[in-house]
Formats: sequence, C-alpha cells, structure tokens
Amino acid sequence: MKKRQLILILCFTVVFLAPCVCIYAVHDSDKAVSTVTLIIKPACHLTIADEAVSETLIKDSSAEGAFDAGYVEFELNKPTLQVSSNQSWKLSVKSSGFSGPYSKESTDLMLKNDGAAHVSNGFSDYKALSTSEQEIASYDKGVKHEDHPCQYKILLDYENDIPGEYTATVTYTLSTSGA
Amino acid sequence: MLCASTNLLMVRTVADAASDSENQASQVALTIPAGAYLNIIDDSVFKSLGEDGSAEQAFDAGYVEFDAGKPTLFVSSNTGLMLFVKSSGFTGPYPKATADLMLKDAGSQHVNGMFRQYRSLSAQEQRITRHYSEGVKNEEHPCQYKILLDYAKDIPGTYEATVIFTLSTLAI
Repeated sequence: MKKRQLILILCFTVVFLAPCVCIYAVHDSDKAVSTVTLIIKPACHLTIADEAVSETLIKDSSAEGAFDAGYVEFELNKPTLQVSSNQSWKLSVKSSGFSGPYSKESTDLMLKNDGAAHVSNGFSDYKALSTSEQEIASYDKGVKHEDHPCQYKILLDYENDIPGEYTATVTYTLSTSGA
Repeated sequence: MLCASTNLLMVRTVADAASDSENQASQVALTIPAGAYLNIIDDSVFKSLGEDGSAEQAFDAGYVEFDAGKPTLFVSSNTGLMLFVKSSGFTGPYPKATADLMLKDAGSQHVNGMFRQYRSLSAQEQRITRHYSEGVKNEEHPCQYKILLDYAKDIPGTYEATVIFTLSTLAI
C-alpha cells in the first residue's frame, strides 16, 4: 500500500510539476554589437622649464675668474626640456646668434644635454651651437615625459668680449620621424 | 375537489418550463515566456586624433573621450534582467591592452555602481546592470567610451575594438 502511494506521488510530481519548472527556467537573451574606432596620428609634445637664463660677470670677481678660465657656465638643468612622442623622434637645437656690442661668434654659445637617455650627436658634453639645426637627442620609439636637463656655457676672450650685454635666442624643435 | 387540485399543479409545471438556461465554460490559457529585447543606436563610434593639436591634447591628458550617449542601449524585458558587456580587445598596430577601452553608463536606473564611472572593459563579461522581479520597457542606457593613451606605447595607426552587449533575463 505504501509503495503504491509513493509511485502515485512520483507520477504526480513528474506530470504536474516538471512542466512548470521547465517553463519558468527558460530565459531569454539578446545581443547588440558596438564598434569603437580610434585613429592615432603622429603626435609629439615639447615643454621647457627655466627657459630664460642670465649671468652677470662682476668686475674684480667672477669676471676675472671666467675670463681666465675662458668661459662662464650657467646653472645646471636650465633649461630642462621634456619630450613626449608616440613614435620615433628627434630633438634639434639652433641659435639665433648673439646680439650685443659686437657680433660675437654663434659658436661661443655651447650646450650640454645631461639627459639620462637618447642623447645624440656628442651633446652629452658641451658642444658649440650654430644657426643651423643640430640634433641633440633622438630615439626610434615613443617616449613619455622624458627629461633633458641642459646647461649653457659661453666662451670668453679678453681680446674680443668687450663689456656689454650679450643675448642669444636658442630654439629647440621636436619632430616625429619615420612612418 | 380532487380533480381541481390536479389541474392547478399542471399549469404551474408548464409555467416553470417556459424559461431555460445553460452554461458552457471556455478556458483561455496563455503562456508567456521570459522575453528580452535589446536595441542599440549609434553603435559605431569613431575618433581621429590629428595633427591639429587634438592628439597632443589627448596624449597629455592620457585619454580620449568619445561622444556622450554613443552608443545608447534600450532595454526591454518582462522579468528581472542583467545586462553584460565584453570587449574583443583592440586590433591595430600593436596589441593595445583591452583594459584601455573604458565604458560608463549614464542611465539613471539599475546601473551597477561601478559603471556609473568609467570602468575598463575586458574579454570577460562584466555586469552593467541588474534588477530583479519587475520588467522594464525601453529603459535607456546612454553610454560613453573612453580610451586610455600613452605616448610611449600608442604608435600611430588605426585601433578598433568590438564591444558586445548581452541582455539576459533572470531565471525564475
């Protein structure tokens, strides 16, 4: 008798409950597709900090020492250039030449690039500038916020460098290159 | 006396037989399955970072944002639902990280807190929204993409990713 009851309960479950479970277990889904396209062209960015430097040589003091040494050095890391580029790049420099009491040689202005990486063309030590562009750093890949701390030096000569104010404008150019 | 009584009873029986009625039952059954519908508009978005300064600006910021409300998803469901998103990853000049593509959902309702702000997508499905029990009709989910940029990695070229949105009803 108990066995028959058990079979009846089982049949009831299969016949009546199972379809209900199936109906409610079914769920639906839908899809949508979106495409995102970004075209990136060559990009570079050059910033400069402490771009204006000046030095005054004082009579009977720093002037004599500088003339005796044959040069005067400006402060370290002034200016500091920061390079960012998303592909191969080069950083160039040129000088306007001096304006002042006489036409002091452009090459009397020298530059050193104390950057930790990618310094080129011998600028890891002082090198004379000219009115033509010279490469001071380059790399065949992109970089982000790469620092190039620089330093100026001006050659001095008792015979040529009469008293007065000498000014030069130095132009730095960052350009991407390659494909 | 007996005869008179019998006649009266018959008249009443005839009178009762004059009205009749009968009922039939009809059953109407409707089975409604769980149903979900996902509609998308402005599904393809495009941006070109050029030499007009837009590239430098975007790289300096570290990202580029696409237009707000593109794409916009419309969700309809007659029961509880979940909306998922996943990305194919980028095709392009180099294998740019999938996580560089970010998404936010400016929808006012049922949006998972994490997607209220930009969140990186991945190749695995992530839930954008979920709600239980009641259905919704054309619930709007205006989305926006953002792509992270890095000077040191993102060389010039065309980068493309496919984003798949999946709407699923919750099993009851």
